[in-house]
Amino acid sequence: MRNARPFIVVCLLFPALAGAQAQATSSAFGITRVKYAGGGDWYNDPSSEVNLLRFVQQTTGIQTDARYRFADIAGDEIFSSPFLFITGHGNITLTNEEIRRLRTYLDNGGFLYVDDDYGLDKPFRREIRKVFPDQDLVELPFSFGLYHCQFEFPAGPPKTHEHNGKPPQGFGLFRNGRLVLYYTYETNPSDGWADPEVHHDPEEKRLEALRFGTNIVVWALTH
Amino acid sequence: METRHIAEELHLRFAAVRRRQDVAAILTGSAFAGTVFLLALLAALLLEDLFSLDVATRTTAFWALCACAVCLTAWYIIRPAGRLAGILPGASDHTTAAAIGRAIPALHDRLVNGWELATDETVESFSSRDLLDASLEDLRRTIDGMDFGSTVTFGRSRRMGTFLAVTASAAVLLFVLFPTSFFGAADRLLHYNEAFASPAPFRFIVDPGDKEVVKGETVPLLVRIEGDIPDRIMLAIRPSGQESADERELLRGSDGTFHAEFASLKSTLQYELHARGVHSSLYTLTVRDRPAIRSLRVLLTPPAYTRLPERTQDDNIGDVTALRGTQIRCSIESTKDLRDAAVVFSDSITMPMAVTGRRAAASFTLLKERTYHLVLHDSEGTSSVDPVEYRIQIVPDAYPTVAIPVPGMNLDVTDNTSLDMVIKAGDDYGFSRLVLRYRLVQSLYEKAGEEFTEVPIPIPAGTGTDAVIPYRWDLRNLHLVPEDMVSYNAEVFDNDVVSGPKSAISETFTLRLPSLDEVFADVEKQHDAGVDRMTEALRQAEEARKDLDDVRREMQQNQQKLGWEEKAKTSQALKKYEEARTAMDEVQRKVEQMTAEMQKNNVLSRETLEKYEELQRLMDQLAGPEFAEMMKKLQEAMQQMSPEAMKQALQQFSFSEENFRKSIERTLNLLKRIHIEQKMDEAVRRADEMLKRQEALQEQTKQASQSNPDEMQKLAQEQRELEKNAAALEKEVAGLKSAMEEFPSEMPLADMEQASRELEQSGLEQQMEDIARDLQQMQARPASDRQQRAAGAMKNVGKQLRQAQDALRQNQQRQVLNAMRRAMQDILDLSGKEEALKKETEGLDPNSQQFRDNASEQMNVLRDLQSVTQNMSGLSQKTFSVTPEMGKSLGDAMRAMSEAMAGLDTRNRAVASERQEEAMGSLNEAAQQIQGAMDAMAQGGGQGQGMAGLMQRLQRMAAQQQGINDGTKNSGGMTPAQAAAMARLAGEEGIVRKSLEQLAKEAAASGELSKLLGDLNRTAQEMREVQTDLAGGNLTPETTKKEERILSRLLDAQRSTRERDFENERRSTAGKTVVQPSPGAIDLTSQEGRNRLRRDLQKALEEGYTRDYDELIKRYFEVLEQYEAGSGQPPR
Repeated sequence: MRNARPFIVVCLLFPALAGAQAQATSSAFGITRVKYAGGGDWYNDPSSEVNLLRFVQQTTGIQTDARYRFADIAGDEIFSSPFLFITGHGNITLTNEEIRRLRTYLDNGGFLYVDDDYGLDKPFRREIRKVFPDQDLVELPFSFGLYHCQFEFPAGPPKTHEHNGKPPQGFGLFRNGRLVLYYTYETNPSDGWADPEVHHDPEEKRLEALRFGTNIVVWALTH
Repeated sequence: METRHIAEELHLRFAAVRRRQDVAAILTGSAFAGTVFLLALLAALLLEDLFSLDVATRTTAFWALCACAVCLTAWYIIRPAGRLAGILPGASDHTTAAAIGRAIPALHDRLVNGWELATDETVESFSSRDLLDASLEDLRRTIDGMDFGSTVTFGRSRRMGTFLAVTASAAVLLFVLFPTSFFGAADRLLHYNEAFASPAPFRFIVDPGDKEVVKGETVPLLVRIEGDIPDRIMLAIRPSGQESADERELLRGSDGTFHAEFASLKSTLQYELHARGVHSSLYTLTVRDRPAIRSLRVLLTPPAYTRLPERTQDDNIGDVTALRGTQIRCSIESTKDLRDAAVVFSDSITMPMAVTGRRAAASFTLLKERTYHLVLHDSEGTSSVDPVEYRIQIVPDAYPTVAIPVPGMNLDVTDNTSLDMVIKAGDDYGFSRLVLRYRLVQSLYEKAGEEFTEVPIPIPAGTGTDAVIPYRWDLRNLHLVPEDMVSYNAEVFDNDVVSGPKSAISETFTLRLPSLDEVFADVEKQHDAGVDRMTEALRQAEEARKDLDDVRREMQQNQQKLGWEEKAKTSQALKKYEEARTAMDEVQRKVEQMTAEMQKNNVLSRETLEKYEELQRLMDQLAGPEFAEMMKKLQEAMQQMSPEAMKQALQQFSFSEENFRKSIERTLNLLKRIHIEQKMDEAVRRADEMLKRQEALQEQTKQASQSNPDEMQKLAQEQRELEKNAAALEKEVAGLKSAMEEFPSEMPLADMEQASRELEQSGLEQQMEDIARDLQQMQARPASDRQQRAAGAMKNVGKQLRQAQDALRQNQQRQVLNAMRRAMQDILDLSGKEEALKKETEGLDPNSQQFRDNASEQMNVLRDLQSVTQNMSGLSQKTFSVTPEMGKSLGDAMRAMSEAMAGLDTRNRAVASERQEEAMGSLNEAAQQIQGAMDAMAQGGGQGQGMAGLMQRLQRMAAQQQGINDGTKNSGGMTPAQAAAMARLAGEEGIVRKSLEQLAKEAAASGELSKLLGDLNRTAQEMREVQTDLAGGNLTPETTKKEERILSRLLDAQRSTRERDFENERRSTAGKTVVQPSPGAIDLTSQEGRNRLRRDLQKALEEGYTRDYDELIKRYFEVLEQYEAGSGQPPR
């Protein structure tokens, strides 16, 4: 059954992308880095998504557009991307307009993955509360499908990078029963996706991070 | 007796004698016949053997022998036997009596006579009866008692028997000695009617003949010849499976034998010998194989602690190199079925192997190095030969290694609560234990420890052979006090359970808690050295300037000639500048070091730290590339010996040189001012520290047991240390006051005076002396009371010092702001004047006399500007807010004004007005820069808003550049539409470039440029090149690369500032897997609809209230939420 997964994923992918990518020139799946204000380095490790997208294509058969792309929440490009990605160190601030647009994006089928690269936790939680004041981020149990949909992560998110020596955590935010936002804290898989010479992570750590990233992508595309 | 009776008696007695005679004849005849026959047979055999008789002769001989045998038997055996049996007639009684009479001389003829008388019927006719009877009676009496049998002897029989025995013995002997000959001859004689070839003249006697040998065995061949020995014989060998035989010649040895050797026989063969047509039999040497190892397989099972998997060596590799404790299993397959097999070690130990058919196996544990070989015996007992000797070698389990790369040096700690360290341990197979060992080696209050105390460090599960273990050493348990020194190291034990765990100890480092006095003294020393070095550099620069002035003057006097002396002086001056530059580099390093140390020890306030950082940046620019370039140009001009070039170079150098000197002077003055602030920080820190320690001592005194004199003594000693600190503080405050007096207008002397007085009046030293005495006298209560009073006094002193510190900062900022405001106002006034002048100049008639007046007015404006510049220069000695860019703008304005003046003098209206406009522009730029600096100061420190703005603009530019890069990549061949697109991209690139140039300018103006990594100007240059490429449709791979570089630099420029913010925190350390329980299941229904309050809040926020009101609403809802959750008060 596991072997059939990539096929199922691809089958499910097309309808999922049909609406979201109406304006895209290619049907290949891409990740859009969110450019935010506030001072955090939203642009760090630009090779991360590129490597992840390549890995996703290799391991699942999903056609990906392995390019580094970024967009302002204030711009319309985000609505052309089914998958947004936020990372960085330090502060993030969202304007009222950005908050409104992000809420619209997530309520209408978009998916946001946020990875705290260190120091993003407090500002991100502060800002996301503005986006969905009626909801908290909830820590996902290890039995949650995202941890098992492509590769097995029985103990939840992997520990890719050390930050403050705390256990890795994965939080989710649901809208109409759908996971619209996934947030990883004290794990930092996106650093593991970067080129090996960037962080000099052991190969097994990188592989683990890429596998975990693949699970996020697969989950986002199939749910 | 009657005669008749006597005759009968004699007859009977004669018959017995005859029977005896017949037996003797039979015996004698048999011996004789046998002897004769044997002799005849031997003679016949001899003849046959010697002459190889033909069939006829042999037949004759055979039958002659048979006839001989028959005749002899008939005559010598059958005839007497017939007589004995009565078949044939024997001798008569008369003959018998005569023979007896001859044998017995006493009887002689009497017996014959008697027999005749007794048997003659006619006797009575001529003799009387009686007489006859009497004669016979007499005879009877005579023979009565005589044994006639004794007359027959067997002597002849015995002699003949002896002959027969001799002959038979001789025959047997001949047969034994020459069996072949005699038996052969006998055989041929028996087969008398068969033709036989002539026997060979010799025959081969071969050793070994037929034989079974083991493969590889060498078999010697010995051939003896029986008969006529030939000189040489041939040996024919035919290996199994070969049709023809190989022959070789064997030569006779001195002993008449022939030798050969079948060396290392590999397969069965047949051989025979022949010579002169005589062939030996065909012999076979049957070769039998030895058992041999067909395949050997060695399985190595490393000891469990290594966690290494089992490993099978390549086939037939028996040499083993493995860890001690490795289980070695040797399995072999033989070429033959085995009876037994064994592993034989070089130390004479033999280990039998378990045998199954052709397979055998044995296991043993590697405990020492030796060699081994395998011995096999096949089912026939044949052993293997030439076994291969395999070597067993032990791979040593290496000692573990351990290091403490972080901190990796002896260090003074400022925080005595914990020390973050990284322990790096390595072993070939893993670790069992890791400990941190430490001991107190120096202390003011305690004896140095002799033994190390060990703290176990947990080794994370799953740690392999290399571990990098971060560890936070809790120093609180060490109860360190200032000037305590602890040496420490890490010891790691490997997991070798076979030979026992081996350990390694890291390099030993020391950890010291320095006293504040030491830190301050060290910083002071570095500061003094820096100031001295800088003063020296300034002196050298001054001297160099004088030298160059001399050169300039002498060149003027010598009608612009450049002589050797000028050249030497220039060279000397350049050397001095170089030395000054080196000195400034050293000072920069010292300042950097000093700042780091103070920062580490937390003795600097944020404001002072920022100033030190600014100072470092200023020093970075001190002798920048421009100055180096000028020096280089001067050097080149000097080499050229061209007075004109030299003059020009000197002129150009003059400005840079002056800047250099002024910068040194400025740096020196700034350093002195910062030093005062630093000393102020130190005093505040010292007061705080003393207060903290005094309060701690008071607490300890309260809890101290009065019956423990040691404890009280220790407290007394610590109190005396504090007393020393109080004295040091007093001294420091006095020194600070004195240093401030050098800058009376800027320094808060009154506040400082107040703090100093407070300190003096508090009598802290005396109080502490009294406390120490009380403690020594075991009077804890009075001591504690005094300690409380001392702490109160310290609080007051600290407060006063802090007030002075605040006043110092405010004074400085106020003064600088005022000065800058004045300068900006002056510059704006000058700008206004310049504008008016420009307008006036533009309207002048070329012949107007007004040119002179305007020139004079321009001169006045220039003079005023010089005055403003002078003031700015003076201000720059006090603050970093006066940037080199401001100086450049003012310099540009002055230069433009000078040129405008020249234009006015020459009545060149166009040039004059153009220069005046330039001067105006530069003045406005300078004013803008001053305003920017003032804004930054007002916002607190010069960072913040300005930087954030720059960052946002950089982000925008990066995004634009990304768009251009994408556009470039998407354009393929050059259709007209694409060419138009390229032109558009070129335009966009131009816009981005201009934005960047503007940004760089602004960043420079606000002093932020140095914070942006990467050379923005260089990036702008590349943008210009890309723009040209795009505009010309000249799109090459190099263009794309340039675009990528530009984007990368734009991103890097932003990142650099971020990294600065996070440099102490961001670490790319690979994570270690953490095992933790799963969070509980989630309930999506409650997730979304859980909080009505929050929904209401969102609605409220969407109503569009003001920000303050938004905050208030949020706060209200939060309190309400807490209340509902049962953890708060109801909102009011």
